[in-house]
Amino acid sequence: MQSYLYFPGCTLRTVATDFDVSAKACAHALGTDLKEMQGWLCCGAVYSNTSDNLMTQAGPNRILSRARTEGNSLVTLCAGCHNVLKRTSIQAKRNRERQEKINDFNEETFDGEVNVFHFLEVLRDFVGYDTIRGKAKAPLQGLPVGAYYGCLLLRPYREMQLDDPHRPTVIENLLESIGCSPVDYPARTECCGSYLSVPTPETIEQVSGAIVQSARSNGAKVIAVSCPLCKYNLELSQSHEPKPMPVVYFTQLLGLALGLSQQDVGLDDLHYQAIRGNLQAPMVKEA
Amino acid sequence: MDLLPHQVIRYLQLGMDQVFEANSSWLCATCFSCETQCPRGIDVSKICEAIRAIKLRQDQHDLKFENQPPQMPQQGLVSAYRKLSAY
Repeated sequence: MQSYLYFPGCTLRTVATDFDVSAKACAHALGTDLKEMQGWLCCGAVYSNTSDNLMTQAGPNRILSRARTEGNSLVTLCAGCHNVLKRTSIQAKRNRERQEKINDFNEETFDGEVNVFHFLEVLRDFVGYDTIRGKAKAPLQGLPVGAYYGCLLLRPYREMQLDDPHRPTVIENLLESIGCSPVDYPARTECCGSYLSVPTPETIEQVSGAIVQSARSNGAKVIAVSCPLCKYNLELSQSHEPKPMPVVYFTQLLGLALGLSQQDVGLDDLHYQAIRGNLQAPMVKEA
Repeated sequence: MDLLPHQVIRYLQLGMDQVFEANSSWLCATCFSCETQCPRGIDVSKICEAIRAIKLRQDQHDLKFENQPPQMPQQGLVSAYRKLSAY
């Protein structure tokens, strides 16, 4: 069994356990394994743009130096952690002098030896969509899903390089391979407002509200995300609506299509019924 | 937003200090949209971070993070404190 070293991060252990549980169940159903790395800590949630304060780099570098002792690649799920760890790893290779200072402070050495992958990349590049299609016992036939990328998965492109920053397709291709009918809508790469939901939740109602509206007016019935904060913001913006659009993690849809149960992927009844109610053909598990 | 991203850059080029009083850099969520779309490759999010850092290091900020809902992702709290409090 192919095993991948995995970094969960703080949010997946608290309010987004459904993301963690569903991804591990999906990996297992696909014949792989997400093995949690030893001694992980907070990545800092945002990659610091302030180049004259290296303190903010201590945490992510420490994570990667510990991951290095277990392997040369690390898989992440949360888009925030992915952004921080991938950029940290790239910067460690690019700027030697800066990296020496960080290593001296940490008393743990990391020189960019760890490649950071998002679980979406693992599914695309290592597992492959054809394998997923073959293993999708209960495809979600015709489910109109709006894939929502947000910022951190794609940008800044010069470092992230996951997919085209203007017209990404990685989540759509995955959704197609499990039978869904992905919906193209213009706001799928717009920012959800990120941490502005902490000081000014009213900002989120505007920016995330526009994203949900864009998805809805193009025919989406469900939104698939890869970031707990995006999910929170998209739901917050609809908190006054009588019929909010369900926002789920892409791994929850993948899990259902792979034949896992509602509980296995951590879906509540409301979201599960919304998914089932919008299928074009009833979900049938093949023998 | 008091000043749009391109205006923030122009104000800085012209040395107009009003840019430090505008709410623009505080509303920038560092989503890198401007940077990805800018034909001149200007890293607007980094510039907004610099404006915030200058203000924060002068201890000029007014943050109230009370009454956060329990569903608020830790990721959101950590980023908000990282971006909007002193560093």
